[in-house]
Amino acid sequence: MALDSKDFEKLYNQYNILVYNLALNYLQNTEDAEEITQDVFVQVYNSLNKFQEKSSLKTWIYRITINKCLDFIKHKNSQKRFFIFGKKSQNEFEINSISNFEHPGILMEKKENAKLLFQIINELGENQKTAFLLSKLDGLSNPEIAAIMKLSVSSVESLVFRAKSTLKEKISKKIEEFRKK
Amino acid sequence: METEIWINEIMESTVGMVKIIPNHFLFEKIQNRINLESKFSNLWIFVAAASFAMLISINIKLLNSNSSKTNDLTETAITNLSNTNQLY
Repeated sequence: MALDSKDFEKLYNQYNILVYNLALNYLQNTEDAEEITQDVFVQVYNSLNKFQEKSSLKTWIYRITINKCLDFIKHKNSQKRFFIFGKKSQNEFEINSISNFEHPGILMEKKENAKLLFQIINELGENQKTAFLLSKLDGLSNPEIAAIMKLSVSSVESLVFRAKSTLKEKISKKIEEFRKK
Repeated sequence: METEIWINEIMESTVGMVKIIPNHFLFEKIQNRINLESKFSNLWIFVAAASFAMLISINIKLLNSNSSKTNDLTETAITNLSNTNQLY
């Protein structure tokens, strides 16, 4: 599937909002989201001839974006572990909270609550985080998420359910901590 | 009860979220990256081809100089033989 520049521009126009906003949900930072968007579309350009159409193009692009975001997060966290106080830090809270929260899609009046929510989302395991973000923020159905994550629909349902319970539990703990202060 | 309300408020803090359109220069940046990557890959192909060509020409030169050395040695041996007229 060869790609000329007009086709590529069409492809970009079709999917740039999807990719950029998904990256924003994972990274909560416009600069990082832009970097990921670039990486995704460069990979799409280079790999489109290898795309075997076993899934839809949209599903394929979702997968590339998710993998790029998760790799970016791993890389950033491994750098932070050495940066914090000049030695390895095992404190996940420190690692996850030291970031520039900048999600322009969130309503102004909900920003503080959203910042806390995303902080806790960042503590979830990769699969729970992905399932929750795709379900709650991107509004995808469980079958769509299952196709993207290459899981069964029941696995996705379980991941979303567990993600929600974990989030509520952790939010409750944070509220307790605030009350004690 | 209050805690429950607070938890729900936080869980629902993404309701009403809007999709953001990325910076319109982003496509240009992507194209520049693709062009740069293809330039670099062409450069590496050229370097590889040039190195290969050089290796082959060096090998040919060495082979030629070896074969001419062998011819010289053979001539010297024949000359010596004819001078001394002895095989041992």
